[in-house]
Amino acid sequence: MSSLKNEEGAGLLDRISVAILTLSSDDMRKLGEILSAFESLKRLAEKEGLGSVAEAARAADAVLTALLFDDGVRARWDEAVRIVSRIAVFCQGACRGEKVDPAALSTLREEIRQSLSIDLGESEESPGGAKAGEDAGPASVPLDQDGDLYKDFVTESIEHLEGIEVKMVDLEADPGDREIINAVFRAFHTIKGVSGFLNLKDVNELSHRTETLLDLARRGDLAVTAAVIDVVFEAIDEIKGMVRDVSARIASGEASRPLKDIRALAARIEAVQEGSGEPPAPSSPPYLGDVLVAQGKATRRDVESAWEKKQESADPRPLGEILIEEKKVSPKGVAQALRVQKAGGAAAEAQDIRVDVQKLDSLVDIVGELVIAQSLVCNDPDVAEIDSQQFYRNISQLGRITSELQKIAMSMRMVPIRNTFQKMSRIVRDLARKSGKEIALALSGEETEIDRNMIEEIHDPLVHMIRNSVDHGIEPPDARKAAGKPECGRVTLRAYHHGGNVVIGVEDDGRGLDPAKILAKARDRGLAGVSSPLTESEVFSLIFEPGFSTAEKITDISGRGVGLDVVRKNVEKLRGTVEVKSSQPGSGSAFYMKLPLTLAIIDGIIVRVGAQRYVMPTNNVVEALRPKREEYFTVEHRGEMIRVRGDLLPLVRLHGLFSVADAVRDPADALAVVVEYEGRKRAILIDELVGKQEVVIKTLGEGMEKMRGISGGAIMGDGRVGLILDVAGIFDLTGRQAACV
Amino acid sequence: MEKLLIVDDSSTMRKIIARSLRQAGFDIGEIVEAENGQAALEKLGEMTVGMILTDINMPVMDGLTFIENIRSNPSWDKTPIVVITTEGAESMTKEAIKKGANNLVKKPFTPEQIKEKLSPYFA
Repeated sequence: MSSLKNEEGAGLLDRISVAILTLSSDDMRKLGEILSAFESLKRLAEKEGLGSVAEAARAADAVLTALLFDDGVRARWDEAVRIVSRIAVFCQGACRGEKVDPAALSTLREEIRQSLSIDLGESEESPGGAKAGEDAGPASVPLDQDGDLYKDFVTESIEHLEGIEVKMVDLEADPGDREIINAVFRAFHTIKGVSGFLNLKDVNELSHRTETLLDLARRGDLAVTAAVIDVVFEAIDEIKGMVRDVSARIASGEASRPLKDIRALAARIEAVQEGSGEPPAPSSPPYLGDVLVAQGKATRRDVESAWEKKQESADPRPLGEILIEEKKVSPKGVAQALRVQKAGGAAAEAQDIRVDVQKLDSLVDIVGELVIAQSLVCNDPDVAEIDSQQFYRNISQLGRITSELQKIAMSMRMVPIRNTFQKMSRIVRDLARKSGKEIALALSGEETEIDRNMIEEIHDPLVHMIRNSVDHGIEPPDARKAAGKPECGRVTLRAYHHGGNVVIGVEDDGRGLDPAKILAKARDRGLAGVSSPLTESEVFSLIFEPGFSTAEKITDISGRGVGLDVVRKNVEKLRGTVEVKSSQPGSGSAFYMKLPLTLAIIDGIIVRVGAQRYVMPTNNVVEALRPKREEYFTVEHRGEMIRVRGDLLPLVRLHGLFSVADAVRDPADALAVVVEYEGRKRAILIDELVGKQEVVIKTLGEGMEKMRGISGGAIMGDGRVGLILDVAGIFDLTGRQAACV
Repeated sequence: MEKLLIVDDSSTMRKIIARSLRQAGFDIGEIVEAENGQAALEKLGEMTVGMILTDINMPVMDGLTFIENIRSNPSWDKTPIVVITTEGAESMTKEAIKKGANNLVKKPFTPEQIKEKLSPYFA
C-alpha cells in the first residue's frame, strides 16, 4: 500500500479540515458539506485501491450520520467532532505519502465504538442512530383534539387509498412499473406520517409495514408478485376500515377509539416480504398454481403446501407433477391449466361479461332513485329526532354505500373514447386524400372515459370539427412549404377529464384563425355590430353563429353553409360548451368541446315559481338579478324586455308559459335569471332561487314527452317532483319575440 | 420572520406543521404552502421567504431535487432549509443534508421539539 499522492484527495481533506474548524454545534449544513467531502474521498480511495483511507472515510461517515440522527451522539457533539477531525488527520497523512499505520485506524474505530457507542460493523446505509421500532414516546400525543385534523386526515387518506386502488390494478397488469410502485409507496408514506401525529397507532403501524414492503419493491429487491399485490390490497382495505371507523367515531363525538389488531395481516405482509427472492418475477405467464386456483381445480392451500414442499426438499419436478402425485389435481386438470398458462393466462378468469345496455340504464335509473330515497330518509324530520349514535353511524354508512353504489353504477356505463378516436383517424385519412393534403393524425388521451350514451352524440360534432380543421385549418402542401412549415400537416385529437367534465379537442397546426377576416365577414353578414369593440375570444366565437362561413371556395368537405353553428347546437344539447383557441395567424387553431361526464345527472339551479319548483341547468345560467322598475320596458312587437348591463333582453314569464297561478307578477318584486343558449340571452322571471343541486334526470311518462320547454323531471330532496327546464325549448317557444336579439 | 414556506404533498401534514409552528409561538408573518418541489419553486419565483420546511418524498419534484434547485440559486443560498423526515428515511435525509439542508425534524414531532429545532433560525 503506497501513498495517495493525489491532489484531489489533498484538496478534499483541506476542505474537510477547514469545515471542521469552523463547525459550530448543530450546524447541519456544514455537517452536510463534510459528509459530502468524505464521501468523495471514500470513492477516490476505493478507486485508488487505498483500503485504509476508504475505511477511515466510512468511519467518519458513520460518526457524522450518527450526529444527524442519534440524539445521544449529538449530546456529545465536541467529542464526536474531535474524532472526525482525527480521522481527517489520519487521511491527510496517507495523502502526503506518509506510511499508513493500521493500528492508528483501529484505535480510532475502537474509540468510536466505545465512547460514542456507534456500531461500525454495519454498512453505511444503516445509520448508527435511529433504531428500528424506536419508541416515539410522548411525540405521538395528538396535537389537538378538536377533530378538525382528523377530518382532514380521513378525507385525504380515503382519497389516497382510492387513488392507489386504481393504481394497484394497473400494477397487476404491469408489475415492473416503478412509477406506480412509487406512487403507491408515497400514499402509504403520507398516511403513515400523518397518522403518527394523530395517535392512530394501528393505522400508523400497518401503513408503516406496507410502506416497508413497497420500499423493497421500489428498489427492485422484491418482485411484485400476485401475493404482494394481494397483501397490499388487504392493507388498503384494512386501513380504509380504520379510517372510516375514525370518521364515524368523530361524527358521533366519541373521545377515544379502540385500536384494531393488525397482527395477522402484519404477519402476512412479513411472510410475503420474506418469500421475496424465491418466486421468479411473474412476467406475462401466470403461475400454474394461480391458474389452478382460478379454475377451481385446486385450493390455494393445496398449491401452497405443494410449493412449500418443493422448496424445502429442493424437488426439481414442476409443481404440476407434485400436485398430481399428491392426488390434489387430476393430470387433465393440470394440462388444461398449463394450456391456459401458456396462453398468457388470457382465459384464466373471465374478466368481462356482456350486459344489455338497457339493463345498465335501468340500473343507473334505479340507483338514482335509491340515492333520492336515501336522502329522503336522512332528511326526514322524524328521523332527526332519533337519539341514537348507533343509528347515526348506520345511517351514515348507508349514505356512503349508496353514493359508492351510484359511483359504480355510473362507472359501468363509462367507456374509453378510443373507439371513437380510431374511427376519426379513418375520416381524417379519407378527407386528406380528397383534399389533396398531407395530414398526420395524433391521438392523445384515448383512455379517457365517457358515458356510453354520449359516444353517439359526440360523433357528429367531432366529425364536423375535424372537417373544419382539415378543410379550413391545414393548408395545401405548397402553401405550408412557403410558410416554412413541414408539408405534412398535423391534427391532434385530445381527450381528458377536467373538473367533472370531459374535454375533447381537435388541434391543428394550420393557418389558424384571422380575427380581422372573421370580424369583416361577420359584419358583412350582419352577425356583429360595426361599432362595439369585441375581444378576440368574442370574435372567434362568431364562427359558431348560424350563417357564418369563411370558406371562399365551396368544397366537397365543408363550406356549404352548414357551419360550426351545428356543432355548437349539438354540443349544447349535451349540456356542453364549445370553444376555439388560436394564438396567432399561421400557428394553428384548437377547438374544444367540454361535456358533462354523464347525461344521467344534471347540475341544476332550483327555482320556485308559485308553488312549483323547476330545475335550470346550471351551464345555461349566466346570472340572477332583481330588475329595477325603470329597467323594465314593453317594446312594441317585441313584448316585455328588461335591461341587464346595457343589453335589452326579452323577458320570459315562466308562470305564463306553464300557467302557474300564484306566482309573483310584478318584475320588480320577482327575480330574473339570465340564461344563454346558442349565444342568445333571455331573462326568465321566477319568484325565488331555492338552491343548487345535482339531480338525476327522469324521463316524463307517456304523453308528457312532447311537453315543450321541459326536458324531464327530477325528484327533489324533499321528495317532491321538480321539472327540468329545457332552455332550448323555451327559446323556441318564445322565439318570435327575440328574432332580432 | 416575514414568510415561511412549507412543502409537503399532504395537506393535512402541512396543516399540522403550520399549527405546530404557531403553537411554538414563533413570530411568522405568513405561511405559504406548496404540495411539491415544483410548485414551491413556482411560488418562490414571486417572493422571498425566511425559511423553508420541506418533506422529501413527494410527487412531481421530490425534496432532494428541490433543495438542489434552491442551493444552486445564489439568491436563495442563505435561506434556511429544514427537512421534515420520518423514521426509515435516514439515507434520504442524509442526502438532503449533503445537498445543503440546514437541519432536520423527525416526524412525529411535538411543538416543543419544533421549537427547539427551529429557534436558532428565528434569532
